[in-house]
Amino acid sequence: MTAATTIRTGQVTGPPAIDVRGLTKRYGRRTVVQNLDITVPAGVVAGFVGPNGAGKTTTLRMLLGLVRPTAGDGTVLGEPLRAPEDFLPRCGALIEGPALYPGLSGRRNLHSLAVLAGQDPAIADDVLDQVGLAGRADDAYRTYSLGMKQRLGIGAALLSDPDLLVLDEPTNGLDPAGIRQMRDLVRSLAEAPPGERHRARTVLVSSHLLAEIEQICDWLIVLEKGRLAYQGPTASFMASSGSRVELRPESPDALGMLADLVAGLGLPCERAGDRVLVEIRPATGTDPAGDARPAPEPALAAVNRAAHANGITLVEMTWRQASLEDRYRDLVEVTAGGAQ
Amino acid sequence: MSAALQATVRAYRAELVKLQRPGVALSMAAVTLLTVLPTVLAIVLADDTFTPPSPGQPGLSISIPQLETAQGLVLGFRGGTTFIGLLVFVLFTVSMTAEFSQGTVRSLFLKEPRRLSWLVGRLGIMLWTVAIALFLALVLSLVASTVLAAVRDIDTGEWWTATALGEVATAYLNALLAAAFFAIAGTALGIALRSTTAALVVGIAWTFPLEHIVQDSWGTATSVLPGLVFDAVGRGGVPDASYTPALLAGLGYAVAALVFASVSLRRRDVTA
Repeated sequence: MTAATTIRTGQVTGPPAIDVRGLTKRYGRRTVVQNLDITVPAGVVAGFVGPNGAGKTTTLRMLLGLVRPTAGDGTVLGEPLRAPEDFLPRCGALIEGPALYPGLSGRRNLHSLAVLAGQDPAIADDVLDQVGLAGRADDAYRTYSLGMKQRLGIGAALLSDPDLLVLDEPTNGLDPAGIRQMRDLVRSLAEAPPGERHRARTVLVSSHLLAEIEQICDWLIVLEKGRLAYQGPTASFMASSGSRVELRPESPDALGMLADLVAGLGLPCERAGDRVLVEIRPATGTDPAGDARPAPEPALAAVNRAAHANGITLVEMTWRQASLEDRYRDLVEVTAGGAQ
Repeated sequence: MSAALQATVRAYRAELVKLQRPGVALSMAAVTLLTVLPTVLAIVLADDTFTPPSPGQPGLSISIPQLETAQGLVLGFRGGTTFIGLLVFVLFTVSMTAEFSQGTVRSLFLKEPRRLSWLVGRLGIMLWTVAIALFLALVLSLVASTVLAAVRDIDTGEWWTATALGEVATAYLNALLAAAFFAIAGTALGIALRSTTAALVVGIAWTFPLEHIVQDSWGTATSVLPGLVFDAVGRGGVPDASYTPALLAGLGYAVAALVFASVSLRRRDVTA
């Protein structure tokens, strides 16, 4: 994918928000990030996933000028990667959790950062309202709960009304209610301000919670051992995985015949307890936009007809679409297998 | 105004926002009061034994005849510069390492990627704060001296002459210079080591016990080793290190520390 590529996955089309090539970081003889090519289209909510130690945070730090790349170059918001002073004023970021002054109130923390960034300090009040902390604005940061600290950290990132928002594990340490609030917040942040549909914000969010990523991200970057394992629309990633159907015959004695029938239809399957598990692989030639997931209905109908024709009564037929977590696990296993 | 200068001004103002809190005011008050302590002790413990006044006279070995000279008004304040240096060194070292240990340095550099401008602005406001605290300490020291002199029946006829006030101004400027040198050294050490414990162990162990051990066996150390040189500047010169050479050596160390701090801050990754 080149810098000129435009992908309509979010609300706007245009040059990528992030476009880097050959990004590499070595510490001594240890390579943390290797030859990474990343493109994040403008206007998308991009998920950045990978196991611990995959190099996600180091990559984000390089994109934000905190860590100097050993090799590689590119652009962020159209400005050179190695000139962060040119693009950081239009970026907001929360990297490895919030880091603010414990003795200062939430409001004063944001005032100080706003002044440093050349913003009107009054914007701090708007941001506090936006992240739901207006009621605790004058309390010391050290008295905040973890969820409140995370929200204030995001508030700090929002001070400059950024075109690119980078959030590193924003749900770390949050309870389920906090995770849901954070998801809603990220969604709302990704929406363009009223009357400004032309400048939808790009959000890059890293998380271990793949279910969250699946729900909020329309673009996906998968990192494995410092290398790029996948990048592209989330829907394409999901479409490349299949789904699973569980069949339970009325009589367990029919399990063997049912498995043979399914195999005879060309569908991979296996017996598991009182069920036959059927893999429905995606059809080739998916929608170019990658929006289509494999439809299992034709295969299910064929299985049902064959079972009925052979006197097998199915008492359960359960279809489960593979989740991002399933697909991610498959990808990581393939990558690990390939590396061996 | 250039972008770098604008960034420096923003950093200065942002640090000012951080400093405007009760904890800082209390800390400044504590530092100020502690700085007055040598003055109180100098006058309370002064005896009648005459010793010729000397700019480098140790602070707490002061005689009443010395106190009755034009320099008497600031002898206690001047004798406390070692203590001031230690306080300033610790303050600047810890405040810098705290930026790394709390991770706030990454929040700062995400807002202001011009790291040198941030450093200059930050040093500027902190030194300005030290200058105010020192001035308050000086005023308190003068008040304490006057009150204690009356209590101890010390002749203060020479204290309010133009010469004496010149001594006061000189003592203040020298204390401020020494504080600035210690501040820059502490900042550079904090940036280099990034760990509060490591920086304090290395800095205090080197500047205070180690340098004084070397000084005991090598008198020239007073005009060579940084902590002793800074101290000599604060005292307006000492017998083993006269003022001008000490000032030049101190400036040299300060410039070297600033260059080192700037290069280190600019080039090293922020992994905090």
